Amino acid sequence: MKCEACGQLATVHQTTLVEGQKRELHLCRPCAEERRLIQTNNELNLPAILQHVIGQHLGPEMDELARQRCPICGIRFMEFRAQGRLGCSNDYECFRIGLDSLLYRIHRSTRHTGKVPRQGVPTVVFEVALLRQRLRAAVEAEEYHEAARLRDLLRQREAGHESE
Amino acid sequence: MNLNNLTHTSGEWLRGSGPESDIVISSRIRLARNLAAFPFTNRASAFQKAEIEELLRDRIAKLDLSPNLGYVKMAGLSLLDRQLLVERQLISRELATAEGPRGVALGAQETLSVMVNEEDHLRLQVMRSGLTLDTAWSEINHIDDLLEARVSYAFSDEFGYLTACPTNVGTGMRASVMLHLPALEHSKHIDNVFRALQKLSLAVRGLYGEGSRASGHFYQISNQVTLGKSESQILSEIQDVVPQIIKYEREARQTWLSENRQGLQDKISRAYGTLFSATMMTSEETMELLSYVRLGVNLSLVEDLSIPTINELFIHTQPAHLQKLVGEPLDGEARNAARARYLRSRLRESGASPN
Ligand SMILES: [Zn+2]
Ligand SMILES: [Zn+2]
Repeated sequence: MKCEACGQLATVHQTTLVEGQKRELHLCRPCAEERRLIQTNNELNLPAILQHVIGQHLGPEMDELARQRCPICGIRFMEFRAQGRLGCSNDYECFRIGLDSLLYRIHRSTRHTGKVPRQGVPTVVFEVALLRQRLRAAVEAEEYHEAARLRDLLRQREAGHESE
Repeated sequence: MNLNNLTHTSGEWLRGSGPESDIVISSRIRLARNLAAFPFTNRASAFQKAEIEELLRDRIAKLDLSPNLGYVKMAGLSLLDRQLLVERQLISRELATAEGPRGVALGAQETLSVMVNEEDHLRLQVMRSGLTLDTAWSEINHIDDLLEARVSYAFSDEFGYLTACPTNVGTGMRASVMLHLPALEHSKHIDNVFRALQKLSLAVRGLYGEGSRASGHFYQISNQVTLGKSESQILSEIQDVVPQIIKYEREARQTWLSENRQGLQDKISRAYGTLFSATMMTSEETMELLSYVRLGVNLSLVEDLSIPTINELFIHTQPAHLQKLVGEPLDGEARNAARARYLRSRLRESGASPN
């Protein structure tokens, strides 16, 4: 793949959001350094990377992403950005666009190639389990508004799962 | 489980045995795992954390291991006992100081520990003496398999084991070796080693992990990348580089000996003499002096002390261990006096005599 700026071999790949559309960006190392997409030393400073990646590459769309909320654990992307910790396993899916470039920056990869649990993991089923947990907690806490929302979400997911 | 016993024993990793143990103190592997059905620890309510702890405690107790692991709840431990486990490298500082239901399951000989409700629901750890990453990996991989059969891990085909912090996602594995590098530090070549390691995406830290200084000339080298590389790839990258560092350290020791034998001998004798006779001793100074004595033993310049004894003194002179051994809380000056007393008596007991 060629660098979009100078035509040499591209080694830095970033996913960015442009007007709500996912866009791939491919650059060679010097061009990427020039655009400050990667730092010259390999120091890993997560908050700084987060600020950098999110601040620079998502631009106007940052607000939209920052406000986005995980329907399962309720964390907002901007909270993750501030704390550096995700709220639940579903966040990898729902913040995918923000996380992709972050993961690439940290690991120079976005794809797992290691150990796989022997008994394959149907993630959808666990999302449902997680929703049920939240629902039970909401009912216990008498948060009926939240409970109704979760019940709808749960119905949707379960219906979707059966039709697969 | 009686934690008081810990002060009279030492963990397998302090035994000073295993391959390359003159330079490689220990090898350690940690795996981060989460349960799919719960939010990550930082987002879980106290009620959910209690549920997670109960569930995991039960599953861990049912693992087919002999002897079984003993589970310790953090809530039931004094601050001193928690600190003891941190000094012992059996739990992280985060687990010791966090809030809510959490704890640790400990194996015999202290090679295995399983933290519950740390940053991730599960943090498995295996630690062994010497350069033994392969043994550590087969042990921890086996425990992980056993657990996986009893709980549902948060895992995705694309991102691997899902963790609270994206820096651990993928394999969730952090492999590290702890090295004793006094000669490389003395020759200042250590900076070159660090730069080379950084280019390989390997991290270097002090004895007690993140942010800690390299006191006692101990350095921990670990992988930074957890996504996009397999466990065996990550382990071989470390295993490829460690023998080179060992070689550099040995060469630096020989150069030191040939260029300034008298100076080195003097440094070691003074360190030994001070440990034997001082009446006040800070933790920092103790680490530094023990480090030179350890070097002296490995170069046969000190003959009446064994490596396991020195390794043990490194740990027993840490604040919590010392207070446990003395049997009372000590602060500042009293602690430094007790440390010096302890060192004097232990060195005499082991038949040492500074020349
Ligand atoms: Zn270019
Ligand atoms: Zn979430």
